[in-house]
Amino acid sequence: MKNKIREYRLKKGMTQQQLAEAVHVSTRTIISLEQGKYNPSLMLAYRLALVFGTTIEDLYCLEENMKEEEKKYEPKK
Amino acid sequence: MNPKSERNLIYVIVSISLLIGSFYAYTTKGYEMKYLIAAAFAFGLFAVNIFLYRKNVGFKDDLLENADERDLYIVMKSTQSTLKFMNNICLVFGVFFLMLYSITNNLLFMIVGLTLFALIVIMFITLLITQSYYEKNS
Repeated sequence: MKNKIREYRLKKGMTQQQLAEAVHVSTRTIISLEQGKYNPSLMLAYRLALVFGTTIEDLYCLEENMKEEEKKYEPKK
Repeated sequence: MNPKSERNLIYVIVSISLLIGSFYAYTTKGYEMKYLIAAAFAFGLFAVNIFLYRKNVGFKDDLLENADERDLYIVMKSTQSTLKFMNNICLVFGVFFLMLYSITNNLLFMIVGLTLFALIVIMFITLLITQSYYEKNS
């Protein structure tokens, strides 16, 4: 899923290691999250949002991602 | 002694018994290679268990203590893939051994083939039970 973790992390001047320690996960998990390969649990997403001082909606571009997902449910012509 | 130590001690005792049993079989049943290999495996098991007993942790506890949610997700996905892979392997080899039985009429091939099919059935029943459990409890 598309997200702004890398963008926010760089804006805050944090390393992946520092962010990993702040949200109690491994650096590998942060890398995977930034690449959009792994979708976090609700609690991890909330922790990340708190660290960056934003909301989960904004961090995970939920509106945009939902529009993308809605396409799957559209009836096929 | 805490429950973790007790459990690890039981594993140590079981692995020592296996080691002694394998050596006994090796020395009394004509120094066959298979008993020596079994003894080597038993020794490996013993070494791991004595290490865990001294450290006072189990593999699973160790994993869970150091794992984050992605690690647990990876464990879950890899276990699922392993199960699928084993299921396919059992099916392919089961059919293969039954075909061998039909060609050679050797009863051993039929036993191996049917054992593999029995394994598939057991895995399927276990899957149904666990699915039903998680359907109710998740």
